[in-house]
Amino acid sequence: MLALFREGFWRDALALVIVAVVLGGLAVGAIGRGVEAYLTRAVSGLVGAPGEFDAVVHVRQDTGDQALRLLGERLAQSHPGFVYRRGPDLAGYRNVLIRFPRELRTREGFESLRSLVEDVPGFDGITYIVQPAVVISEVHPALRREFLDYAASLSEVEFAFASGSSLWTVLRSPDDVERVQRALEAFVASLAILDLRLAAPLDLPLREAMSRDVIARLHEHDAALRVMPLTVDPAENGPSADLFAAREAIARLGELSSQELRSRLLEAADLVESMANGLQGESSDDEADLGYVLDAFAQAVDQLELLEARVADLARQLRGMAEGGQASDVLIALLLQKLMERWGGGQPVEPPRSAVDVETLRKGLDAISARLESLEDLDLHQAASALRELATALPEVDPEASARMLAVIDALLQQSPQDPQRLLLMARGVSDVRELQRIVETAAGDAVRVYVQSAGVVQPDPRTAMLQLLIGARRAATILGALLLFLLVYVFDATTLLSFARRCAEVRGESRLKTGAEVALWGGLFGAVTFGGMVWLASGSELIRFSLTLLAGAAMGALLSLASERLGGVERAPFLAALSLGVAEPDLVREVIIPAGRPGILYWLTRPGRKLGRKDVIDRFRPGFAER
Amino acid sequence: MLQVHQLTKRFGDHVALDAVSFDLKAGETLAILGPSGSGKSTLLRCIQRLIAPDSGEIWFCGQPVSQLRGEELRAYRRRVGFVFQHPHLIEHMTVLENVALGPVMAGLSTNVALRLAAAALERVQLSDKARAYPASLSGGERQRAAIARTLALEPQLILWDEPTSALDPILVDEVLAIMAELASRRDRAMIVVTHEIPFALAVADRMALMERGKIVVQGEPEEVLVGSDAPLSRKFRRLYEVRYAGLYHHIGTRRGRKEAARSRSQQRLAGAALLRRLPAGWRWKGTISG
Ligand SMILES: Nc1ncnc2c1ncn2[C@@H]1O[C@H](COP(=O)(O)OP(=O)(O)OP(=O)(O)O)[C@@H](O)[C@H]1O
Ligand SMILES: [Mg+2]
Repeated sequence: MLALFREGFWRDALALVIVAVVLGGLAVGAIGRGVEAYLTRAVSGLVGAPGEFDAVVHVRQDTGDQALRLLGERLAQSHPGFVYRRGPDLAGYRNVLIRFPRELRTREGFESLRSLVEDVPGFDGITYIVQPAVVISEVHPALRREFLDYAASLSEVEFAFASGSSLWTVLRSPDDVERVQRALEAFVASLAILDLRLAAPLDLPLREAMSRDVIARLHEHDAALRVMPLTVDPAENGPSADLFAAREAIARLGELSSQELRSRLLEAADLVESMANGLQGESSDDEADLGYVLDAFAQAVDQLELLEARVADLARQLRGMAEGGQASDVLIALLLQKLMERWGGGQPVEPPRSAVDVETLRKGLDAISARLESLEDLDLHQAASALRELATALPEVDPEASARMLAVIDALLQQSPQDPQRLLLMARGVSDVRELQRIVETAAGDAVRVYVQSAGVVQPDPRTAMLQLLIGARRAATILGALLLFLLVYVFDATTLLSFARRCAEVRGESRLKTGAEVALWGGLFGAVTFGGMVWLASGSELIRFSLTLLAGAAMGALLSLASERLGGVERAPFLAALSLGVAEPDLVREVIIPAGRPGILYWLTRPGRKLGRKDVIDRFRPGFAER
Repeated sequence: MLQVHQLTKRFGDHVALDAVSFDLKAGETLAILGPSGSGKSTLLRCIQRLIAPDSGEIWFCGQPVSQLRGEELRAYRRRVGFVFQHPHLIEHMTVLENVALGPVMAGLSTNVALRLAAAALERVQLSDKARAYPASLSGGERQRAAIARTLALEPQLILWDEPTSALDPILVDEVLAIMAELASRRDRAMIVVTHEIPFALAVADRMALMERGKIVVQGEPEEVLVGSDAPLSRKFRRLYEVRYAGLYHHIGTRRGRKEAARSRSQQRLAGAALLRRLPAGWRWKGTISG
């Protein structure tokens, strides 16, 4: 082959490679960008243009148009500036796209959307698609407030809000996404959650002592490190915060049914009884006693009201928990479903509903309030017995049932700080996570396993995340397109040259093995340069690693060279005939082999320089003899 | 003009040429006969360097052929024409262009080359097919076009590798006639590999019989065929009798003699001396017309 190149053959080969790479690269680039544009358009068709809408409210389809009407009314009542549009129906859900009015583009505005629409029948959650934004997901509830404050402190951030365990930072300009993302990543990286798993359960005081100890030891090691026990502020919302709140509510239900209230009620009943008896024999303490009874009543009623309120609260928290799930997951599922409607049919996975039976609780409360109502006629004997009944009615929320519920919730709460075998600490000013882990391990001792978790995951907003997925589609299209064009060029052109090289080697009497190896080498080189070049030109090296495409191209080129005789072998007869006329190898390729083969790139490249086999040349020629 | 010395070529274990040696003078015609697979084509291909011999040397006009590279080698190939068993015309070119291919690629301008090609076609009486494509030609016409292609380069030596053996018997004559005419001019040397024994007898100055890669007999044609006692000579003689004797008995007595008397060139081709030495009843196949 080198001998061939010396004869001037390299010009053809080089021209082939350049034209293949340039044309192929441009074509493949166009294919890739076309696919991306198509998919981007599909996304816009689904959830509007970027920035057009801020949220998608999902409503179950079976609740009919009335639910949508109610949703519209709610929004309009809240603020006339809400823009909403019905989006595509998917998998049993209606999706309503919503744009917030300018005045409501605040943390409060976004966070209040849920309370605005959550009692619309069939409401099944909200997916935020506000752009431009950066999202921190899987934020520990204890860190939510801090993250929100930090995000809001960045000048590029318009506002930040929480949704479930995710925090959204909405930016002023799409140009800032990368900068804010980097800032948030740095912030998240400086925090770490230390999850210490103890060998045996420890009581809270012991755990607290241990955490104090570990913190002190850590501080000794690294003064810049600030470590504190992790607590949960129930005021924060989000799925796990909801769960914490629910847990709190149940725990307080248990408090309410505590011995104290019961004994106070019984005490009050005794008092009422004695009062009823004492009314017959005058008693100077009556006024004071009555005051005490009324006080006990008022307290009992207050407590019951509180109980009722808390049960309602619990019910709400549990409903909130049912939502959640990653917004980008929902969006991607929507898109996939839209794109693959025919093959689709996969229902989105519903988050687990609570195991708490609120109805039973409520029934118990109803019984209590009925008793209270019957107190109104102030029959003191009856009141006393009512109080006693109330006292006995209270155990309906018995401690055991509460404990069971708490256990269920704790099981749900993966990061439950209540776990007696677990100690959660939060570290700030972390510079090296591995180093931190090592320090904690030595500080906590052998019996403790230490896990270091990140405080959250910074990612672009779901729409951008989805578009990044689409880059995957573009990558696939680029590779497939390049592969196809490469194979075409290979089969139409390269095989001809390689087979020609084999013919020439035969004439020189070289061994088949040596020729095969040489041809594989050149085929591999051609493959690497052409395939690698096409992909590189089509997408730069941002999509696919250049070295990988070079390698893949070389492998394909070398392998295909083994089949070059089958793919486009040069016939021996015309080759030998032309060779016997003293035709030079490059001329032979241009004038004889290529025009006789498949019309590939070389055919068109060599056409202008071809001397024979052209109608214009032969038509102009007058031989000077009469042709019959 | 051409010296072949101890030429050897192996294909794997198979020895296709085994120390073949012979000389050829300018204008001389050497006929090579031999059974199939005896290495005749291999010999011709080695001479034109279409395959590389393993050992031995070929001198052309005093130059060792194995040393030739690049343009020198191509110039050599142009001086040594090759007519294949099959015409191997290039299908996407007209007959004229096929013939012009050699001159064009030798560096002549397209017009001059086409003119040369037209002249060559005239010599093989194919001018009327100049603008036809090979696919539309008969077998004889195709082979005549192939001959014209070789002639267009005006080679000093022409190697003929059984140019008629793939042809219909009716078409054989038109090709043999051209070959005979070229041989009779004696302005260029020819090596003719053929199975047409009468033709070989008529045109060859010398003859060689090949078997298993070796030249077993070479010399004057009548010596080789009639005078030699080599087994291969005997085999050819017998073959000649069986295949042609009956035919020549009739043609030779009736038409052949009449026509031979009519054409001077044929008289020469037939060669009185040759006829005299041949056994009675052996006649030159008189259908060749110059
Ligand atoms: N390229 C090749 N590879 C392997 N063997 C070959 C090759 N060319 C020829 N041979 C072998 O060499 C021997 C001589 O072949 P060659 O074609 O020279 O015979 P030939 O005398 O021309 O026969 P024919 O009269 O049938 O044309 C044969 O046995 C053939 O099989
Ligand atoms: Mg042969």
